[in-house]
Amino acid sequence: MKEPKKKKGKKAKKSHIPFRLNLLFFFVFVFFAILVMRLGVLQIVMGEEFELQVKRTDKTTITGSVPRGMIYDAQGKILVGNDAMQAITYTRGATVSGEDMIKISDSLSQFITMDLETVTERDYKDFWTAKNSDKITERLSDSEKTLDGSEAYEAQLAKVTDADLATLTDQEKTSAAIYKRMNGAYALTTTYIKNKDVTDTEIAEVSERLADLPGVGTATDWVRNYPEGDLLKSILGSVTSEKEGLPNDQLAGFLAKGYARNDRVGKSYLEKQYEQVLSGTKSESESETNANGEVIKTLEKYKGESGDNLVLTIDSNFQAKVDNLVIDYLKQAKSSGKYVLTDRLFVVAMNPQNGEILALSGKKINQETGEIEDYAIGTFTTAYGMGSAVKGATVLSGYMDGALNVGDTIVDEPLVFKGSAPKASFFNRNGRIAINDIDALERSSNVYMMKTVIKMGGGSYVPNGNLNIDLDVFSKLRNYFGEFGLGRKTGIDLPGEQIGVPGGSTEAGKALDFAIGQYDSYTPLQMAQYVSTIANGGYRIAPRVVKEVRGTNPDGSLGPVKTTFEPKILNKLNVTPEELNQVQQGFYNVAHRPLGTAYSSFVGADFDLAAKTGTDEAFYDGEIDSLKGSPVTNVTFVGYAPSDNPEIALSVVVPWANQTTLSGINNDLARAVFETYFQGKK
Amino acid sequence: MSSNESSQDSKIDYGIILSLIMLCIVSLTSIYAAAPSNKLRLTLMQLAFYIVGAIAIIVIMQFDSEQLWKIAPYAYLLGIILLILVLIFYDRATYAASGGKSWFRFGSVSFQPSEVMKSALILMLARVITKHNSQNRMRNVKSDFILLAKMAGVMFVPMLLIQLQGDLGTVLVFLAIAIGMVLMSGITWKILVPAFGSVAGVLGTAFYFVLYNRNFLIKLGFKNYQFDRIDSWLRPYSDTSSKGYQLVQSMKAIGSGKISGKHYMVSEVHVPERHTDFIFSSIGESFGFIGGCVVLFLFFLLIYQLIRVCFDSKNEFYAYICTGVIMMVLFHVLENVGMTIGLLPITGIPLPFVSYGGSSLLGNMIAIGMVMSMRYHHKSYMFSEQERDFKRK
Repeated sequence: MKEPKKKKGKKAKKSHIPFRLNLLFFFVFVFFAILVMRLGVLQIVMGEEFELQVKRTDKTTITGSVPRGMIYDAQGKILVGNDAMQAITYTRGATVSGEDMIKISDSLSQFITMDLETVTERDYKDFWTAKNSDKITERLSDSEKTLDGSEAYEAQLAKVTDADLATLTDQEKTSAAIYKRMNGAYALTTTYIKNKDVTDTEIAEVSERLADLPGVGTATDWVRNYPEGDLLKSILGSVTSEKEGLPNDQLAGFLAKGYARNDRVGKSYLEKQYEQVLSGTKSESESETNANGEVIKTLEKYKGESGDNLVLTIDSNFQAKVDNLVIDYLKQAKSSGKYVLTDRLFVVAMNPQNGEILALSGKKINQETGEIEDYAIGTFTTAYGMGSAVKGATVLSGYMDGALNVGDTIVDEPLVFKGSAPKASFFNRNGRIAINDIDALERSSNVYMMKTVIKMGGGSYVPNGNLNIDLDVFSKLRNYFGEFGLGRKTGIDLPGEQIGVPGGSTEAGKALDFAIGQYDSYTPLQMAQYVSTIANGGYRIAPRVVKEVRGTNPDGSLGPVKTTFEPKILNKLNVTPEELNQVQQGFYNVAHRPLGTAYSSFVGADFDLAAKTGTDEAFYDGEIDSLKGSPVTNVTFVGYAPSDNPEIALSVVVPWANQTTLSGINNDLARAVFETYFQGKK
Repeated sequence: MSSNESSQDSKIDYGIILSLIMLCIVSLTSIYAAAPSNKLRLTLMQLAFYIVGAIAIIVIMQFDSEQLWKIAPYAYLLGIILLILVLIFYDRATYAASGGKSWFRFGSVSFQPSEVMKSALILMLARVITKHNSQNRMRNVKSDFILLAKMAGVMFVPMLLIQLQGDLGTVLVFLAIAIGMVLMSGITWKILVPAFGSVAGVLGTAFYFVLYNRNFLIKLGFKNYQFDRIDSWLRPYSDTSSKGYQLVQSMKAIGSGKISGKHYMVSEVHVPERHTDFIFSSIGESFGFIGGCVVLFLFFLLIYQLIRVCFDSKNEFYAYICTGVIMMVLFHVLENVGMTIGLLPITGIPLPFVSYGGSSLLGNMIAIGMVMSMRYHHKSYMFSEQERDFKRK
């Protein structure tokens, strides 16, 4: 060491150290003074405020589910009911961690059993990871440690080996199943840990220990049951499971209405349409949390009110009989060989006076299993060419347009245009027969309808000439047809209604096809509304399947009426009674005069009906892709009875019969349905 | 200072020992109250750390200034080797939990080499300054700049290594130590005033960037979590991260303690890490303003004793060591207490002698040991010198 080890002589210069040490000491003093002052501000000046913050408790409202309203048929028979079940619930606090939940699930697993079948390997991994976070982090590589969010979690899960999972005891597996339920819960929302097959012992054991199991509770859960089996099941719709919770596409709306994310709501059809009625008012309890987010106490504030009940317009008895008829006729059709491609059959029966649906029946053969399935929703979600059955609307359009007057006579003759095949009526292939409007309907004259439309389009028929009409005729026709509900929403109180499929092009010739129902396609329900409009004197009434909303009596039975739905008139036809009478008369003749297209089918019927049949030259559009576009025939029927004061309007649709098949099964099935209806009334 | 001279025959500084014993009592009672679980075990562990620390003090007291002078480069090198090793063999679990690579783990024992590095760095800096000053009797601006460069050279490697460990808190401690020692080294005000002035300017600019132009800093290699701390400090209530929550909870705990505190063992507010970094919030909640001030006074007393030793030693090498230790304790207390009361951003710095943790306690005890060795070894003839004549070594 080069520097001097011994003291040197006095330096001329004084050391700088004492002064700077004093300066340092001064700074130390200042810094400590600042700390003390700040401490004083916090504890003395703001102390009260902080104390209030600490003492303050937050009140959070926790809602609980109430039994959903039931659905009854017109006679008060239960179609959709509830089974009450004991349940063990969990409400997750705002600051509860995975570790806290593991503790609860571990102790809970001593008292309850869980169904382990739905627990996946992934769930076990979640559980193992939550329980052994130390071990997991040790196993991660450096680069894996830098991952964040879900990537990090996936990397952690990947480190759980089969050997780890093999060490899980049965009780730990149960705990994993419980943890899965708890972990899936949203904060401050009650979820079910177990709501199936909960035994009294389990409820008792858990109830005794609720104090040690924060967030755990016992409650009653419900599940939908269907005493009438599959009857109308597709129309009744379904509710989401607790796991599905609120449907994503309507999440915001439901949350705004106070729903919890795991609430079960109507997913389809009636359950969806009447969600607000059926869901009831949820129970409310207030839970008080302290500044640490721990729940101090929970008070029930409002017991909640179970959902109201729906009473349908449909008599399940009649519905069941119609269903059976439809099945019988579908089987019969299949065995006859005339309906090779037919895989479905529809019947809609409604009261034409008030729009109440009497039966909504659709059956379909499942192409894979060969089983006949319920397809009632097909009555308003699928559309078919309906053929001549729509001719009542064509004639009335003619009147409304001024192209036709009551009793007008037109010559039925094959229409020959340049460059296209002749268009003739089925009953008159070659001759020239002058017929009036009533006869035209009775015998189903195509030419009468076509000539009416040509007139509406401002043209006139010139044999071997061109068809010159104003193409506005399409929109005109669709407007008039819409007044019957054809091509428009019928306004039924079920979601998912289809309006039918308009034909694509606007060639003049297609307007003639339109006139005889061979262009636009309609749903079976639209056909029922159309014939009802004719039957009831020109009022288009929205069909409905719910007659009234009723409460629940204390004993659980159907309570007092809360809402009755009045018939909803959508529009009235702009026709005179005489004009309407012509069509009604024509429909009457169809079934009562020997030349009527449905005469033979209804000979000897003990009810008095008016009807119109249809045969549509269509193309197969079903589920067998390779056969799409094959020429087929849709056979259809609309009608009502009794003809003077109609109670029931009917639409029958048999799609995709063999090309050469004519009316038959449609009329027979209609007759069977009418008979069933009037027998039931006796 | 004449009163001090009367205690010249006392070779052991009982004032420092008394302060340490008081802090030890505060530490043990607070850890027992604040530990989330295993209260007794953690308290006994801390007591064991104190005993190990006391032994370390006794061992280090045996070294006189000459030996410390010789040891300095080896301690410094050893410290750097440990810092390099820890970058390779850091404890994976701690890293996963906190993002810091500053811990070794041997079985159940973990150890943070940067804590020991603090004392080694102080020793090395003291040696560099003393040596430089003895070689440059007639100091001028140029020689002062050379000294600054030498100090920066000593600081550079350990600070870089600790920055690589992701331990911003310790980097700041090193800076605080360096600032104190630069001040004390006698560098002329002609350099210090503009230097501190420009540092203030840089800090102001940095602050501007942090608040308004983060992307620039991220390009320079800063990490986002380092900004989180500043965010949670400035806007604790609007920050939903754990840091903001920690600060809000800590301020609630301390504030609601009011003047006299709630009661021992009473904790109404949950503060994470309250037996380690946030132990002051536990003290503040249980014992209020009075208790908090008592603890601060104990630290003030300790620092006062250290400064007194510095005055008494009359030895330049000792004076610099002492300054380093003072700065180290001062900065720890300032930053730790400051962060629990929302005065400074949250960094992972424990409250010295009080927070639970063996490495930190051992590091601090070694530093105290170096100071205590001064009184133990200084010869009476030193005091025959003129009072203001500080010896070199």
